[in-house]
Amino acid sequence: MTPQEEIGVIERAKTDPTAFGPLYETHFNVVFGFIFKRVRNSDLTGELASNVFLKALHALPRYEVSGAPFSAWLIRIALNEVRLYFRRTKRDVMVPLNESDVSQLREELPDMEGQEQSLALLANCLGKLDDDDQTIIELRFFELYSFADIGGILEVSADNAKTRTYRALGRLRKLMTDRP
Amino acid sequence: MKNYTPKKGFNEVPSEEETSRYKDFGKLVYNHQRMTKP
Repeated sequence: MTPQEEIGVIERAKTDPTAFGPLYETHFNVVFGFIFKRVRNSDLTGELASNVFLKALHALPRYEVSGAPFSAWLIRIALNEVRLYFRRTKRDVMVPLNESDVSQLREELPDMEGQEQSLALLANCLGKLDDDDQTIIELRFFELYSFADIGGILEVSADNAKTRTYRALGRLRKLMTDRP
Repeated sequence: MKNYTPKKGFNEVPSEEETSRYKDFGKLVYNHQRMTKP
């Protein structure tokens, strides 16, 4: 589906929910994967994903086409749904990180070598960041979203997304160098 | 609260086959209409 075709489908689906089908088919796996990476449980992911699409369908008449892709709007709803879930349940989740996940992040920390760059230390310090910083580092360095897409997800400009990313990176660097 | 455990990593997700088990467009439309109907 081209972006132009997608806009046509969105406009139709605003008045006819059954026309939402192609959008659901196109974006379901992306939304499911996005949520799964954060909650690490398939059944729970399925439940949250269905909430996301239900909320998207309710909010669709208010959706306005902007520079950001439609998927960014869906991911924003998914991100809010995940945050709502953690706020409501106060559950802890263990998110696995391997070497390939952090390879992009390591490139942004070139002045740290050896022990300072160990995966265990990186994982430990990431866990100490607040939710906003964790989210922006995951989006940029683990999932490799562009700053424009991150801006679309967080409802800020691409420049603002870039600024926030490097501030989060600065806080991570500080945690890694200030450890006792 | 989210913690990270060093090692399958962050980007490992269920297979497409497993993911498709959770797809149900008919149920989505039904729930939407049930909630929006006066």
